[in-house]
Amino acid sequence: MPAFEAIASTTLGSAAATITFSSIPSTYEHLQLRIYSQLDNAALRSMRLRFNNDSGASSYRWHTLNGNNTTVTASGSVATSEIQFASVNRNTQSYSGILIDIFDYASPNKNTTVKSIFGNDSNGVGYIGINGGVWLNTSQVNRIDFITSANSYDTGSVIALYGLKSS
Amino acid sequence: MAITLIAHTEVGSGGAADITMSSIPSTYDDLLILCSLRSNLVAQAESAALELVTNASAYSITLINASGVTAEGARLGSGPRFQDFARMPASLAASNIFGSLSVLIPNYKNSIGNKQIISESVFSGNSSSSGQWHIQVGSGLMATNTAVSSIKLTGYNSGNFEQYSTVSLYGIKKF
Repeated sequence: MPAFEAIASTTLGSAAATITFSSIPSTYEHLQLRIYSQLDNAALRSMRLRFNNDSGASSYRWHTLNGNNTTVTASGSVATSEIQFASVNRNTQSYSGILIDIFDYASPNKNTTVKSIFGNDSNGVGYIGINGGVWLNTSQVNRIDFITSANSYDTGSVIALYGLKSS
Repeated sequence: MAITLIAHTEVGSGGAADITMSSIPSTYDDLLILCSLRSNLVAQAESAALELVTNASAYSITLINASGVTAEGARLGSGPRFQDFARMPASLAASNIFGSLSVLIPNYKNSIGNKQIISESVFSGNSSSSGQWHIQVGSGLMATNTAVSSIKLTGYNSGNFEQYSTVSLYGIKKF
């Protein structure tokens, strides 16, 4: 029996500041998100997420190992209101590819950990990275909001949510 | 591409010194291992180790890491397993924090060439201090043409896996 199932997806017909998946069922072991997106601004921006509409000022932690052109750095943020899963700098029509794993999202015994890998080359500047983040809450994830540090997800952005079974 | 569950384990209340999955069928093309792990080692973090077949010196791995806010690289060669290739929270880390690890083993059943793995792991703790943030990306070689029929995860420093640690093993079959 296939263990990898599509749950939901969104393709933007117009720019949107927030993209929401709600009523996520608890019947899977893991969640995976596959994203093709850019923001509607040319400056360096970040893509972020929140769980279960929790915008508490210290609900999340995130950190990153990333390459910007030829420079490799590590950084992060404690006590934040969201998890940053990608940083991008948009040129014309340069959508990022992003893969996000959320393991054991329904476990009542675990804070929710996010692992993401992303890349974007816009013919002049490039970013690549792997990020980690945690939501300091053991509730089952039933909603994910995708937000940004500024501006909106651009027309043509695609986010697809999948579930992985364990039985 | 089809992804099928082969096996899944959740560690019980007594903890576990290792998580082993054997008798892996040869009916797939690639293997994908997804793990959510925590150790009882008395430290902020424990390293994970992975053995595919018994061989004292077949394993080597090249890593890029972020430890806290420091970016690094490393190479570990000629070991009996993939060692120190991922970090997981241990007993001094904040409660309910588990590390995430994924390992891809392409063409695991071939008997002609050596095996390669690609791994990604994150341990996202409460704070950037005292080793509570780790990111590791690894490319590993198992220098033997033996087909992979089992996986064995352990703590590199002999820590046991804590209750609720999970390992999911999937088989990927191409069209």
